[in-house]
Amino acid sequence: MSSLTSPEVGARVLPARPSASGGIERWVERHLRWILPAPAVIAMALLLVVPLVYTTYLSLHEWYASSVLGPRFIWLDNYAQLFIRDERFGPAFRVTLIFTVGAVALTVTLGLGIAHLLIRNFPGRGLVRTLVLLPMIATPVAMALVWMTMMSPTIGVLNYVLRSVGLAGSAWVSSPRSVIPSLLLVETWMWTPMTALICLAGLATLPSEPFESARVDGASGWQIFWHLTLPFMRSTLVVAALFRTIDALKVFDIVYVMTEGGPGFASETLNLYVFQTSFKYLNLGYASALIVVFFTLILGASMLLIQVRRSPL
Amino acid sequence: MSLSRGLRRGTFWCLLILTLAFLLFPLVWMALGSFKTQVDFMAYPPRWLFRPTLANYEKVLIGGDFLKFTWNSLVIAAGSTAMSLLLGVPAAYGIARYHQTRLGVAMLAARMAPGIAFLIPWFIVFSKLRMVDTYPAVMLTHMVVVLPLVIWVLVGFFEDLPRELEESGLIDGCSVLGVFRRIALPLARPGIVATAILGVNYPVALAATGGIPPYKWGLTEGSVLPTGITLASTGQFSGVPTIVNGEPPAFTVQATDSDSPA
Repeated sequence: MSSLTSPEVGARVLPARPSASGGIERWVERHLRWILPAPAVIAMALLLVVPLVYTTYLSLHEWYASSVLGPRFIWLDNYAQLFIRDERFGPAFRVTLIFTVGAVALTVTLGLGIAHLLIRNFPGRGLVRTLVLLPMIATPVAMALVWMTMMSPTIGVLNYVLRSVGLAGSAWVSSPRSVIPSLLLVETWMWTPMTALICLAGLATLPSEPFESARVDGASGWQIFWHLTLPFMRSTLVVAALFRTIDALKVFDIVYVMTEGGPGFASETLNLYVFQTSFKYLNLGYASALIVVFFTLILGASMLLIQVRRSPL
Repeated sequence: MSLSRGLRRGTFWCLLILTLAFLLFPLVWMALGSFKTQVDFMAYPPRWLFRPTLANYEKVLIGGDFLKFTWNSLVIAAGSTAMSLLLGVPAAYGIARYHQTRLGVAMLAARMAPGIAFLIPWFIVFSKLRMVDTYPAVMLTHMVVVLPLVIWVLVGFFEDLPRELEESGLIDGCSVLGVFRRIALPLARPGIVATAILGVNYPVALAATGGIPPYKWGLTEGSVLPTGITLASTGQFSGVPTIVNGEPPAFTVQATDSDSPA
């Protein structure tokens, strides 16, 4: 009988499984689009939204983490101070922005390049792929310390290498002029494997037919890269850039370990400034206002990238 | 033809070796350093050849609580990743299949929030629940970082699964849930494993930094140390509890590196 009907009809003709839970099953089936993500959504709401609401509430208060003097409501004074009188906010904002743009550009470009190397077939590919991922698996604080010793202006191995090829050694993180590039070098080293991994996954899922026909038609490597790989990889690249943007805006560990925001305030990022405000000065109300602004900034940047992902080329 | 092919192969290997050199050198340098004595470590020009010593490893493995800390890191990483997969896999499938892009974006918002924003509220809640200093508390806080990552990577995997396979499952009388369990899940397994690796990496990394700093240490009495701290041979980590006006005790983590001139 089913051979006579079209598949769609056949599906309806099939008898429903006779079971006591049939009603529940049908209900689940109908609302599956909400049931599947529900546990994750509830968990995130509890872990995230509630604390954020509390932080926003605190940002309208003055509170120095004291149990004797509770939070005092001061309207928008924290925000007024932040935008008008704060002399550390602006520079921290600029440092964060420069760092982020540099970090995203470097890690995504290099990541795509490395993924291109690793997608090929060559002897020892499995081993090389594992080795390339190692920096990502190493722990940021420990590796930041290793880079510190390598970047030591006097006994560091990097300056030794530079000098032995006839270049002048650098002051690395001890000079305001070279501190940001130095941190970018460490950031690039640490996170390029992640973008490479994402790009590798993207490259692996590319359909092979367009590439084969392009090769048959005699397209050059660059032509294939510009006209096929990049458009096909756009979504993957935007996701990689998105993750990197968010993480780079929030950069904390390597900066905290290597410079603590110094020399002076030359490498103080927003996250570092918020940290100092809340846990060094215990100015929790003001820190909360900073957090709200900081979060809005990250949210804005991410929305922009998501728009890029959605919009047609 | 063969000349240009040879040239291209040469370029390929050169680039590959350059990449590996850049990415592996700090790790090699760290490994070498772990076998050096204080004197060899501080020497300039840097010593490539030296008489190796195991004293540093002895100090780490026998002297301290390193193994316990490593165990802590592993338990927390495994726990938070398992919880994230449990919640994240169905959510990712739902988002991919029903095109709930908004939900996906909302999940991502979780990743954007700076961890520092949660410390104080979480601490208050966890102390009310008497969960301070427990594994579940730390796992839950890590889940905030891992879960959105899991969902976002897996949404991509599920979207790329051939729709036809699932449709034919539906036509043959399988329920949507059945299609998810019997078709989509097995097909996406490589993706899920890859995601789990990504997920485990995050907590370990966070454990190393003490989280986006304060929360990890605020919750675990400084007991969670990263696995990669072989560097302890030349430096040390310490957590100092500071209690301010009887408010939530905060931990200040000090990473001192005794060998490099600060």
